[in-house]
Amino acid sequence: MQLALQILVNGLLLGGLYALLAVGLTLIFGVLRVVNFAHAEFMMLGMFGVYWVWHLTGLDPYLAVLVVTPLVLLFGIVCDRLIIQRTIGAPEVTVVFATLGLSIFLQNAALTLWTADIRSVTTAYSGMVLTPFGLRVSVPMLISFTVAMLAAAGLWLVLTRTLYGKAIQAVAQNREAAALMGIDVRRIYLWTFSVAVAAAGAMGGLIAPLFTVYPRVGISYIVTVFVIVVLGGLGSVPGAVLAALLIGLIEAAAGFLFGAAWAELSYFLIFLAVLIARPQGFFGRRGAEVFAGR
Amino acid sequence: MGNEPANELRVSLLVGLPLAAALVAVPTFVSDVFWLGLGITVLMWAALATAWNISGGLAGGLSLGHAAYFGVGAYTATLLFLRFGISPYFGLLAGAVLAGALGAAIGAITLRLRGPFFVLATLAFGIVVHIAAVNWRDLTRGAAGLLLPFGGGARNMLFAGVAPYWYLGLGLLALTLGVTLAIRRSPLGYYLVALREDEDAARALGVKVVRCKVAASAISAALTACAGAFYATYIQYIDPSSTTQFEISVQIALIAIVGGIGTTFGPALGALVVVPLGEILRASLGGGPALMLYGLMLIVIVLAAPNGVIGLLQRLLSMMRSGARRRATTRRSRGHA
Amino acid sequence: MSRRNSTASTRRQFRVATLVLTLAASLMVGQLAMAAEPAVTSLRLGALFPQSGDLAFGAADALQGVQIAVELFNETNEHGITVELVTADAPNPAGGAAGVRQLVTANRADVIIGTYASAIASAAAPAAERLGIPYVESTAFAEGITRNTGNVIRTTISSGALGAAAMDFVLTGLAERLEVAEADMRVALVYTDDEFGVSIADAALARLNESPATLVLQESYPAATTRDLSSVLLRLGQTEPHAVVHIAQVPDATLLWRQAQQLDVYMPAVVGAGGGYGQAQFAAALGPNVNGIFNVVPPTSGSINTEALSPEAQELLRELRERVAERGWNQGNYTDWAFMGAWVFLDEILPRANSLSVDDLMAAAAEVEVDALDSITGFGFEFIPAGEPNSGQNLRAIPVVQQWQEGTLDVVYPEELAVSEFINVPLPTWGERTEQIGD
Repeated sequence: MQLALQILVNGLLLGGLYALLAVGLTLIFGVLRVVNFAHAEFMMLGMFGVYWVWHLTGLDPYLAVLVVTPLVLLFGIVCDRLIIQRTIGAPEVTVVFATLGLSIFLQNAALTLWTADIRSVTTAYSGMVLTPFGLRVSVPMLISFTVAMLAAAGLWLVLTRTLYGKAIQAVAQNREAAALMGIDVRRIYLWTFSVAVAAAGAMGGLIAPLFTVYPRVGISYIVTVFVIVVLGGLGSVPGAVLAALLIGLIEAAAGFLFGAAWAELSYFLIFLAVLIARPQGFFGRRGAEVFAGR
Repeated sequence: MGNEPANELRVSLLVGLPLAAALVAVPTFVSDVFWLGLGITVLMWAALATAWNISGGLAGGLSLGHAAYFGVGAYTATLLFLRFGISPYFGLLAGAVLAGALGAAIGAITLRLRGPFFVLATLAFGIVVHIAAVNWRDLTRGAAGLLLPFGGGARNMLFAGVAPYWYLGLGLLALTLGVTLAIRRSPLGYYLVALREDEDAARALGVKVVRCKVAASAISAALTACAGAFYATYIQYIDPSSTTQFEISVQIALIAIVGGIGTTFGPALGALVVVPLGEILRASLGGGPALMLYGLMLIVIVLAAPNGVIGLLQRLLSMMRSGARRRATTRRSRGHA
Repeated sequence: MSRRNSTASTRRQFRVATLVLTLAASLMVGQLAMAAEPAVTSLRLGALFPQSGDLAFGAADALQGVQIAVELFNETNEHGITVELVTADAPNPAGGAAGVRQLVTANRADVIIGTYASAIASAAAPAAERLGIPYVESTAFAEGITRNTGNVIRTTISSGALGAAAMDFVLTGLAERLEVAEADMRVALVYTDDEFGVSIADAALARLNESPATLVLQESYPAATTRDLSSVLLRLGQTEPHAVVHIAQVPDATLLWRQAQQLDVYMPAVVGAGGGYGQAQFAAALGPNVNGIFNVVPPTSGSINTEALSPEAQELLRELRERVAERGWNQGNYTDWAFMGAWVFLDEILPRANSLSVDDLMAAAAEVEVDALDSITGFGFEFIPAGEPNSGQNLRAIPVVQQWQEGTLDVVYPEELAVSEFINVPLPTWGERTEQIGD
C-alpha cells in the first residue's frame, strides 16, 4: 500500500514537470496550429540560463528563474517575429519543418557555445525531502510541481475570465472570423507563442537543480509532451494538465511493473490506441483531428 | 496539371536516358572511394526520399515515421542472412513485403487523421518500432547491433569493393523513380492528386479513399525497406540508432522537402543538394556549427522556398524566359525610337 | 675413416661459418635497430571521433589526447618520423563509415585512430578494412571490434573484460568486505540500453551465471531519453541487493543517485563501469555523496600511484598534463587512454613497422611489449598477433577497481595496485548521511 502510494506520488510529481511544458505546447498547437518541435529547446535554454546565472553570480537557482524567464520570453518574441509568424497559413510542411529546423539550430548553437559538457546545479536543498505519512516527496520536485499547477491554473483563468483570453479562444476557434471581429490576430499569436515558450524556459529553470544540463536535454521531453498534448485534446489547458499527470502515472506504474525499458512503450501504445479510437483526445473538440491545419 | 505526368515522362526519357548512361559509367571514371562513397550515400537518400514522397508528397501524408520501414528492411535482410543463410537479395524482398504490410496497416489506421495528428501518429509509430528494436534483444541484439560478415560474397550482396554498391544504389533509385512515374500515370496517381487537393470532393466523385491511401502507404513503405536492406549490406553493420531512430525519419522527409515534395524528381534532387552539403559543412566547420547552419538552412528553405529546389529551378527558368522576352521587347522599342 | 673425418671437419667448418654468419647478421640487425632508421618516415594519421551529436561530450577528451600525443611525438622527433594529424567527425555508424572514406581518400590518411563509441567503431573499422587501412582503437570497448576484423589494433580494454571484471569484483573482493558469502550475494544489474551498457552488462551477466550468487534485478533503460528512474529505484529497494552494478552516462548516473536520496533507497555498494561513473561532472553533481562509489575501468593517471611509474612515464605524464592545462582542457579518463594508445602506436609500433600496411603494422604490434610502469595509464601493452582469435587486442589492458574518495578516484583493488584503503563499505544509509551533513 505504502509502495503504491509512493508510486502514485512519483508519477504525479513527474507529471507535474510535463504539465508546464504541455500547457504551453497545447496553446501554441491550439491557437497557432503550429506543431512546435522546438518547444523543449526553450526549456533547455532556461536550464542553461539558470545554470549560468547560478554558476557566475552564485544567485539561488529559484531566483535565477525570475531573471531567466523574461529573457526566454524575449527570445520567444524574436523567434515568433522571424520564424513562427511567417509559417501562419503556410502548408503543413513549412510549419513542421520550420520548428524542426529551429530545434536543430538551438541544440547545436548550445553545443557550439557551451560545448557538450554535462553541467549540474547543486544546492543545499537538491536532496531535501518531505516525509508526510512516511512517503518521500522531493522538495525541488514539489516546488516545480506547485509552480506548474499554479501557472496552468492562472493561464486557464486568463483564458476563460478575461477579454484577452476570450480573444485568444476566438482566434483558436476561427481565425478569419476573429480577424473580422477586429481582433489583432498577429498580436494574439505573438503573445501566445512567447508566453508559452517562456513557460517552457521557466520549467527548465525550475528543474535545473534536479537534472543535469546539456544541449540535447530537450530530446528526452519533446515527444512525451506531444503525446500529452494530443491525449489532452488540442488547445485544452485542463486537458493537457490531466493528461500530463496521467502520463506521469503511467510511466511510474509501468516502470515499476514491467521495468523501465517498457514504460515508454506503454504510453506510446496508449497514444496510438487513442489516436485510432478517439483522435480528438479526452478533452478536445470533436472534429479537431480532421481540421486541415490552416 | 492533367498532362504533367506525360510531360514528365517525356522529359525523363530525354534527359534521363543520357543521364542514366552517364551515371552507369561513373565508377569507371571515379575510382576515388570518397567520391564514390558519397555518391552511393546520395543515391540511397535519393531513393529514400523518392519512396517517402509516394506517401508524403503524392498522397499528402507528412510521415515522420519512415525510419521504421527502413529498419524493418535492414533487420529483415540481415537477420534472414545471419540466421538462415538466406541471401539478402531475397531478404530485401521479404523486408519489402513485411514493411509493405506494416505500411498498409499504418495507412489504414491513420486514414482519418489530418495535419499535425497524422504527423504525430506516424512519429509515435516510428518510436514504437525503435523501442522494439532496442529492447527485443533476442532478435535484434539491441544496441549491440548486428554485424554482417566481411566478404560474404557477391552472391550475398556483400562486396569487398564500393563500386558494386553504386550500381545497386542506382538500381534502387531507378526502381523508386520508376514506381513513382508509373503511379503518376495510373488511375491511382490521379486519385491521389484529387485526394490531396480536396478529399471531400474526391470522395464525392467516387474516389476509393481507403484503397488509395493504403496503397500509397504500402508502396512507400516497401520501397523504403528496400533501401534499408541496401544500407545493411553496404555499411555491413546495423544498430537501432542508425536505422530506426527518429533522426532518420526527419532526414528522409527533409531531403524530399528540400528537393520539392509532390514532384517526381524533386526528392532525388534534394539528396543531391543536402547530402554533399552536409558532408562539406561537417568536414569544414565541425559537427556543432555545421548542424547549426543545417537547421538554419532548413528554416530558410521551408519559409522562402516551400516548393524546394525544383520550385526554385522552375521559378528561375520562368524568370529567365520572361527576362528574355522583356529584353526582346526593349530591343524592339529601342529600334522604334 | 678418413671419409668420416673429412665429413666431420666439413660439418665443423659449416658450423663455424653458420655461427659467424649468424653473429654478423645479428650485429647488422642490431645496428639497424640502433640506427633508428625506421622503414616508415612519415604518416598521415586520421583521427575519427564523434564531434557532434549525443556522444560529442565524452569524445572531446579522447580527441584531445590523440592531438597531444601527435604534437609531442613530432616535437621530440626521436625516430625521425613526422606525423600529420587529420580529423573527421563521426557522430553515428554511417558517419563513421563516411568519415573513414573521407579520411582515407580526401585527406589521404594512412592509418585511422578512433573512436570513443563502440557502435561507430563497429561500422568504421570494417569500412577501413575494406580499404586496406589499419585501424587503431584507443577508446571503444565493444568485444566485436577486434573479434570481427583483421585490421584493428586495440590499445584499450574490451567490454567483455570490463563487465567480467566488474562482476568479479562484486563477487570476490566486495563480497569479502561486505562479509557476505559469495553464494548469498544478491546482485542487481542496471544499465543503459545503448551499445556501451548492453555489451558490458552481457559480460557481467555471463560472469554472474558462473557463480552461485543471485541476480535479483536486471533493468535497462533508454540512455538518451531517461528523466525518471524512480520506478527502477523502487524495484531496487524491494529486492534489497547487496551490490548494484550500474552502467551509465553522466546524466542518468546523476539522476539515479539524486532520486535514490529523494526516495531513501539504500544501496550498500554500487559499482559503475566507466562512462558516467568515471567523470568529474558526476562527482561534482553528487558532492560528498560520491564518496565510496566504485568504478571499474582500465586505470588512468588520475587513479594510480604515479610515483611508482618509471621516470620516462612520469616525464610523459608531465608533458601531457602541462599541455592539457595550457589549453584549459579537461584531463579525463578518455584523455589518458587515447593519449597513451596513440603514443604507443607512434612510439612503439610505428618504428618497428616495415610499411604502413595492415600486415606490417600488425606484425610490428605483435613485437611490442610495454610494461605497466612505463605507461601513464598504469596498464601495459602486448598485442595478440594476427591470425589468432581477437587479434590486435591489448592483452595487458586489465581493469582495476577505483573508488571515489574525497572527490578523486583512487585504485582500491586489486590490492597490489591499490593506492588507498576501502572506505564506506557498506555505504552509509541516507539517514546517516544527513546526520553527517547536519553536523
